[in-house]
Amino acid sequence: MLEALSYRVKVPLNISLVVMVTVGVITLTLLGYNYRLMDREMLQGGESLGRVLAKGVAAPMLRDDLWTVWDTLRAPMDVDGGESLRPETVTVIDGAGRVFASTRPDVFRVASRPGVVDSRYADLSGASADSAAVASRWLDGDSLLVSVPVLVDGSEIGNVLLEYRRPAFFDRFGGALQQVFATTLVILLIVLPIGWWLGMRVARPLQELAGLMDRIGTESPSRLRHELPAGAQTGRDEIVRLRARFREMLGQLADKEMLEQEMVRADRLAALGRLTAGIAHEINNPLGGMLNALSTQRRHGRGDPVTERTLSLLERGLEQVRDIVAALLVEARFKGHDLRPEDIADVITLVESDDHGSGVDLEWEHRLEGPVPLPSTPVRQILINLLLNAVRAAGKAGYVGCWIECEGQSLRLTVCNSGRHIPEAQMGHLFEPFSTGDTDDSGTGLGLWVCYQIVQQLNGRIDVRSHPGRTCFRVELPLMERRDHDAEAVPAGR
Amino acid sequence: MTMFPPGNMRIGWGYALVTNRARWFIGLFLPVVFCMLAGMQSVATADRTLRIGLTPVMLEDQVRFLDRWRGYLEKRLGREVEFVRRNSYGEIIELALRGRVDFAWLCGFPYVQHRDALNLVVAPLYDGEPLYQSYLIVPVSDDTTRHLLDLRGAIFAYADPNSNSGWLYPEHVLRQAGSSGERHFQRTFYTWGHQRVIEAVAAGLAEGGAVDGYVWETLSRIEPNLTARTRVVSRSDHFGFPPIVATSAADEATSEAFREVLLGMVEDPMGRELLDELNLDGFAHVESSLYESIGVLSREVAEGRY
Repeated sequence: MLEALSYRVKVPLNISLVVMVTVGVITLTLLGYNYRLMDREMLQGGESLGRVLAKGVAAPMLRDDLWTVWDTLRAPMDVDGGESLRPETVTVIDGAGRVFASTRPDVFRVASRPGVVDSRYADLSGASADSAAVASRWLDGDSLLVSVPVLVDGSEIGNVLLEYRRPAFFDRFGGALQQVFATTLVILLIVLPIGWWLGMRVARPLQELAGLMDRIGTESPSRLRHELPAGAQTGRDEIVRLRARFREMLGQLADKEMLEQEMVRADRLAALGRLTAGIAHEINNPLGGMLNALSTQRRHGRGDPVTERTLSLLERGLEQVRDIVAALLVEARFKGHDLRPEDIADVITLVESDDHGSGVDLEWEHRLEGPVPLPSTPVRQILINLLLNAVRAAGKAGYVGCWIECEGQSLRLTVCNSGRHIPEAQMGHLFEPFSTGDTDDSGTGLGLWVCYQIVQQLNGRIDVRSHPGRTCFRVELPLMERRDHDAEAVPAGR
Repeated sequence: MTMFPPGNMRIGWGYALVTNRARWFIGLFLPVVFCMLAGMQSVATADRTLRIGLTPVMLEDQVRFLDRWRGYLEKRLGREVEFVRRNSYGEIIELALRGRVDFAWLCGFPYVQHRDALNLVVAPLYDGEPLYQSYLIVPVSDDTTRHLLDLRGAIFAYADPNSNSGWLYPEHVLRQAGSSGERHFQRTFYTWGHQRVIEAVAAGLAEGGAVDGYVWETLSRIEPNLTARTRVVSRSDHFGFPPIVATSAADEATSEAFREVLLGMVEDPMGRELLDELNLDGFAHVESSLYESIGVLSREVAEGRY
């Protein structure tokens, strides 16, 4: 049952238990010690009181003055306080072993024999009469009898018998126990909140970690890592270390998952690329033949108008097929001049004149100071595609930003817009053809696919980050070392 | 040694003024007399301290009450008063017979024994009469005893061998029955005080006791818990209440002044308050014949008639 409890309860419980056990052991030890001391106290108290009384009663006993003897005996019984060491009974016996006076005359009647009226006294009177020394013995388990001789001029005229009863444990120590209980209660009242607080301190980070661990597998590690901020604690205790290691592990899990997703996506896109390229090549061959045949028929045939219209329809359809196939079969042309600042300006002009561009707040900045060793045509195509997408996404009164800069050995294009952000589910398929589903839009659904293919062919990278209110595409293209302007080649290593 | 009570001094002073017989006397002694009149204290110091012997016929341990009574008497008598207390009746009687005290409050028994040497001053009035009784008491646990003779073989407490109520009367009863204290009881002892007899019986130390009825009744007002532990078995005939007597040390004038003060106590509030604490109604002139009945007992016991 105890195992099921939270540390928040277990810690204060354990502290209380330790306090109570400690208090109990100390109390029992001290009280036991005191209880054992009590016998010696009784004996010493009895001896000293007995000597005083023996001296006091000697003279009146000689005078046979019963009243004065009794008055002397009852004096210590009437004094207030010191109840613990007060004798139960004080009896004076004369030389003949008869009661001279007793503080309990109802039991020890004057002139009676103590051994007769109380069997416990039976053998003492005879024994003590022999010696003139103080004697003591236990009458029963709890009663101590101290016998002090009454001496006059060296001869014994009687004995003072003091009977002490050992008080019951609780009679004597009840007060002390009450005090101990009260003190323990106060200590517990102080310690329990501290224990509770300590328990909370231990339990809270553990609970937090346990909760996060339970969610691994069902939620993305990066989000879990986000919920576990780096602890401010500088300590090196186990919990702080556990937390740090757990956070590290979540980070590694997130990285691994991202890498896996990236690889899956890249593999899929590569497969798609190969498929579309294959299909496009297979279609292009018959398509070229058909278009040539049509062209020949147009030039030589003189057909009736119906045939003419039919042929024209066929030609437009085939041309559309060719365009689509051409778009799918992205083959970056590396011919042409290096990218120049003017090329960028042209693109901006083009985009600003687009129908959708009206009303959009377009901010752009480029830091190109001269030609960049990259083919201008594919770079312009990327830029146009991204910008047109952004302008459409931003919508009326939206915002589009474009930054172009050379950083080290690469060119970086960043295009951001303030439009609707891309849902998580769509992210994985963003660069696949016809993936956006914006059927109502005028786009072909191939813009990003084309961008991706071109970037891949230029050995670059493209990635996207989308939060509500801000979506950014970033393209990094490595600069080429040396370019043959007339070469038309696909860079190796794709 | 001559004593001048303050009253006489004043008369003497007036006489000197009126007769005009000795101007030199005035011139010489007037400052002295003035000094004497300046305060009671200085007047009183001129006289011997009046010593009054007390016996346990009244309650013991009443230090505060005695201080107040002493102050009252000093104020009335105009001289210092000292109460003399001793362990037993016998010692006070001894002091009285030797003239070491001026007055003594004694039991009627020693008075009748020494009536030639002692002069009656007054006797207290208890319940309106100068009379009291002797009580026989037993512990309250004893509900069988009906008579002193029932206590055969008992432990018995007497107040004092010089007390009528606390020894003479019960002894007389036993003698009448053909016995005596020594033969009738297993053991007897004296407590040297009536209140202590009550304590001894209440505690069970004594199985019977003879006590002054006035003391028992007065104690039952102050300490009812103590007297409740005793039972009064029988009450004697009435005897003359222990009187206050003058010894040979007190002259007639002093006795008269003391008598007047005691008789006048009932007439002023302070005196009545003190009387009330004593549980007495006042003091009265009594004749020696009041104690004749005690004298009879005394003689009969002494002669061993029974």
